Amino acid sequence: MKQGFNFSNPAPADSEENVLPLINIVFLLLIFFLIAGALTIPDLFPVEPPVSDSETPAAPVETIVLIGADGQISLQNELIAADQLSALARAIIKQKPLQPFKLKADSQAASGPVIRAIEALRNAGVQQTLLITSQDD
Amino acid sequence: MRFIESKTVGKRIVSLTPLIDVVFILLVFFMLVSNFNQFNAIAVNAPAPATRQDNSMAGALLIRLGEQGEIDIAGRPVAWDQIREIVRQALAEKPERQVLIKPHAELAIQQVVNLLDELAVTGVTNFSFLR
Repeated sequence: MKQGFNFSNPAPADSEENVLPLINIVFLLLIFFLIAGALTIPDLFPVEPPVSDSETPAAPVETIVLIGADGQISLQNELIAADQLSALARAIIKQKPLQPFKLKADSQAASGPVIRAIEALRNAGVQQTLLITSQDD
Repeated sequence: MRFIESKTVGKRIVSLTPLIDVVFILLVFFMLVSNFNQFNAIAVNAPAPATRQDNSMAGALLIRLGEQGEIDIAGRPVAWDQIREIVRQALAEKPERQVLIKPHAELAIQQVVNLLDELAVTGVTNFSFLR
């Protein structure tokens, strides 16, 4: 068994010395992912935002309205009915009057419900609604 | 190298292996959990209320999107590659003119965003949706 691995340079008794470069790299990768990767809460259901040339980066906004391809709506990752959106948004606006809202709609979602959602947010007193888009690549 | 090795061997009490295990687990965790998607945003104005007929809506440019993505501007059918030119002409005399977008309710939002991109090129900022 041992002969198969016994090359010209036999492993030293303390083979842990050899893992040090590996640990260095792994540490670097770890620090990279710690810093570069933003931790986000996964979406309640898969939403693929529409492709756009817009280059305005989406500011980090806490309140997110999701609209799925089949028209289901969630606010703050909780499934809600479309007619609840206005009342629930009003409750948020009451606490944080200038809170902008992110609207992440699936590219295949019908525009009727999306526009109704924008309207509901406007009626709730939301100052700014941001329609989330993705970059074409 | 021999020097370093002989110095450290026997000195280390704590084994490195559990450390590597934990670091690997952390690495895998952050790899799976981190998100590199960069999303952009389009600020959308509130849709103009369908019932209100105030001055802001008077004289607005109406763009309608049909069910198949066909487009008409102020009642005239228009091809997609003509949008920029026609909107530019329509806004030439009055740049702050409001643009109203009325997409068909069943049309995918991607088409509406395509239109918004076209409008952004022509410099339209004052747009809102109708339904």
